[in-house]
Formats: sequence, structure tokens, C-alpha cells
Amino acid sequence: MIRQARFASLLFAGALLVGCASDTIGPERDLNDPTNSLVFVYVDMADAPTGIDDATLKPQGEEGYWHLVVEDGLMYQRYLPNGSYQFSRLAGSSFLHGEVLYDFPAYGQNASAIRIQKPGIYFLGSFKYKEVKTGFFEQAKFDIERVDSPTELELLNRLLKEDWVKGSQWDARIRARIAELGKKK
Amino acid sequence: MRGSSGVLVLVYAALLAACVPTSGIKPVDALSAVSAGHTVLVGRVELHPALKPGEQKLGDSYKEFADEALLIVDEELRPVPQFRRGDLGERIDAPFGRLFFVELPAEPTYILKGWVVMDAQVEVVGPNEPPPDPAAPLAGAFKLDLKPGDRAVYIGTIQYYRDEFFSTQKVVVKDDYAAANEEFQRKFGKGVALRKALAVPVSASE
Repeated sequence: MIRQARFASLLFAGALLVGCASDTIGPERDLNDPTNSLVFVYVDMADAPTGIDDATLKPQGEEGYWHLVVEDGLMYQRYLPNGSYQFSRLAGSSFLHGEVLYDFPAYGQNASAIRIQKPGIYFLGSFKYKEVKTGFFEQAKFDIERVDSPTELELLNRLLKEDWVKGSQWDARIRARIAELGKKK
Repeated sequence: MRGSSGVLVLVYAALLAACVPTSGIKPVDALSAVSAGHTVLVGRVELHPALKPGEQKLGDSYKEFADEALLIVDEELRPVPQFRRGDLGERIDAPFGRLFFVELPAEPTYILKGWVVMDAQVEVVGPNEPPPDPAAPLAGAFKLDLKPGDRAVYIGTIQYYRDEFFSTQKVVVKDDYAAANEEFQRKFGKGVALRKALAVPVSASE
């Protein structure tokens, strides 16, 4: 199997456009639709110019993007239908750098790629932002490296405390997944 | 506002034109036109699964890149991490599923990587929005065993297998010599033998 480089371009932008992207998909599905999957991921941006305010997943073979809810490094999407997805863009801002877009290549798998063939709870992994050295006149680049912490279990326990979980199908489904992970320990 | 949009259109159009220069590797229509010390390289490229209708977004000026691979060629093995103008000057334009006949110096050389132009059209983009990635990579490098004195060399059918992310999952070099030789003879006559030297996969770091 031949894998593609995971480098992506980093663009310092004057205005953040992703938040008002017109090609956003969903959520038009019901939170309790049994065909929904919950996908979550964590990215540690401690070494990045900014934190993350917005993140998008690109469904393969379809137009548009799915935006993720972003909360202190934890990102999730709870309405995903079956399909293949991967990070398309992260975006954030800081006083020093302004708005920054972290774009992943449109073609070829990156580390976040996932193929969902049946509804469920899917952990894409925990990652850490890593800057890639480039020449002085070259566009800035970055990579995301897989890390061990936080674990799926830790993040599920965070998700369980979310208000939207209470009274929804996700309460039981997240608890079931936590129990499943508990048995593996 | 109309004025600034116009500027953006022009900038993006210029950017794309700059991305894909004319290749120094030319197709061959007659053996008599091949320079001394050069050979005719014969081969074919397939993509599995094939491109779907509408998968490539090509404006009118970029239709020449429809349903074809751009194979980057160099005499030295090196990585090709990005779709860059500098690499595209020496490339084979290989239409998917059809034989190509191009002229190359008769000396060992490499196919370093392939690209499929996926998004090349004039469109308005926001002032801070990066243009879309123009091309999808076809990973895999190959050594081409061309020798001084070669008049025509067949390198095989290079089959690229991709997944839904357009990652290259597998590359196979298939020997379709009999069919290729038949077409070669139909095109150029039987005066020159087509030597078989299948492309050899080699590793090149990305």
C-alpha cells in the first residue's frame, strides 16, 4: 500500500471564511436518527500559531463539508451518515497571527481518514500539531501526529457531560461504548 | 465590488495557466521526426476505478487535461511532493486507456510520479480563500531501462488503483506487448522493432 504525505498548507488569512461557508452540509438530520454516527477527534494545538475555532470534514465523492463542533481541542459531529470522511480544514485565530487556515490536501488520505459503513461511534484519534520546516519563501506547512492522550475513554466521558447528549440516543450509545472500552482494559 | 471580483478572476486564471507549462516531451507521429540519440517510448496508463463524469472540474481552457495522467519524468530519482510548475516541464501526457508514443533521449530515466488535473477552471474565489488543490497524485516511481541505440521501447500498461480518497493503493505494470506492438506497427510500419523493457517500480521518498 502506498500512502501519501500528510503535509498540508497553512494559510495566514485576513478574514475567516469557513464559518460562513455556503456549502456546509447538515445538520438537517434528526439528532436521534439511528443512522447517525458520532465521530470525534482531538487535536492538541499547543505548538500551533492558534487554537481551533472551526474544523471541517470532507465527505469523499460528495460536494460540501461537514462542520465539527469544537470545544477545547475536542471536535465532534453527531449527525454523520455512512460514508468516507477526512479533515479538510482547521481554522483558528490569535492576536499575533490573525485568522489562520490549516488546509489538508484535497486528494489522498490524511491521518484523520475514516470509512463509516455502519452507524456507530468512531474515534478518529488524538493528534498533535507539528510544524514542518520549509524554505524561507515557501508556504508554511504542518502535519498532525498521532498521540496517545487523551484516550477515547477520556473523551467519551467528556462528551457524556454535554447537554445535547442528555435525553438523546447518544446517552445510551456513549455509555455502551464506554462499557465496551471498560471491558477491554 | 464588481471591479475587485474581476481582478480575482484574472489572478486565478493566470495562476492556473502558470501551473501547467507545455511539456518538453512531445508525441511522435513519424519515426523520421525522432532526433538522433532519442527513442520512441510506448506505454499506456489506466486508472482504477476510472474517473467518473464530472469528477474533473475543467474549464474550457483546460479540457486537454481531461481523462489523462501527467507523468513526471527525470533522469534522476527524486521525490515530487507537490504539483509544481518546475516538475511539469518534462512530463508525458498519457491519456487513460490509450497508448502514448513520445520521444525521449535513449538513456535510463525515471517516471517520478503522476498527476491528474482535477480542478482547473476560472472562478471567483474570496480574497483570503486559497484556490482548490488542482491535481490528485498518482504515487509510484518507475525506472525506464532506455539504452543508447534504442529506436522504440515498450514499457507496459501502468495500472494505478485508487481508493475513495484518491490515495494510490496499488500500482501494477501489465505486459500488453502484443497489442501495443500491433498498434505500433500499424502506426509506424514494420521497419523498427519495438523492444520490450517494462517499467520497473522503484521507491522514491515522497
